[in-house]
Amino acid sequence: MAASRLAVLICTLLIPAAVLAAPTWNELSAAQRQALAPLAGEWAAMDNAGRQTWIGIAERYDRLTPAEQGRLQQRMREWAQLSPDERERARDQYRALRSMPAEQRESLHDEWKRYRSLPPEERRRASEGNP
Amino acid sequence: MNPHAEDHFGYRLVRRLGQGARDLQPHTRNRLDDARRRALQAHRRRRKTLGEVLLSRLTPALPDWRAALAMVVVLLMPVAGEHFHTATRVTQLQEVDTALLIDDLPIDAYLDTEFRAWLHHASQS
Repeated sequence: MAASRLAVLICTLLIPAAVLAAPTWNELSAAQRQALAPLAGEWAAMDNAGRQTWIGIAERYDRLTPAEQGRLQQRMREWAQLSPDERERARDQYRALRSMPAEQRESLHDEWKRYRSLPPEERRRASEGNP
Repeated sequence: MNPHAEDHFGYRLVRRLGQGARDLQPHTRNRLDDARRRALQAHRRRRKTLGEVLLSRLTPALPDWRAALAMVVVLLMPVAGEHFHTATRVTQLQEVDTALLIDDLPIDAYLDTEFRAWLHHASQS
């Protein structure tokens, strides 16, 4: 009985720690390290939630096309260096733009290029509804 | 019975038992000897080790394993709830982040809040 009590107490203390712990860079699998290679330098400084998010992205990596894999790796560091607020803002905007009607969604890339070609002042005026 | 009479009675009893033991058959004596040894061993096994004594002092509120199990369940419920919430949130972030990072539009397009407003006005004009 004493042994079972001790085991129960140890489990109570260890299970949450085990559940919440995220792996170090060396504990990742070879495939995960390859997918997340651009983040090798930043990994140690990331919190658990950040690491878990990237691990999930790495698990989707094999299902992406080569072009998508290239874009993903190219943007990883830029994304990791944003503040949590900036990332949340980008996610909100992504959800909003992706919920647009299909025909508008398909032209988003061209619209972005048109928007970027405008002078900053004109962009600001146009976004306020004063073209 | 006064103390002197008790001592006398005890002395007579021991002498009588000793005499009885000497008169026993060797087979019977061996069986009694074995039974005595087993009783002593069983008594030693019931004594707690130092670790058991310390643990029982540290956990006086746990009368048996069912109470311990109930305590663990109570302690783990908030942890499990929090873990489930975090896991759901992380899965959602993984899906959105993957989609956003492989998208045709660059990250800047999603950081520029004026782009959305510009799109809105452009679609109306």
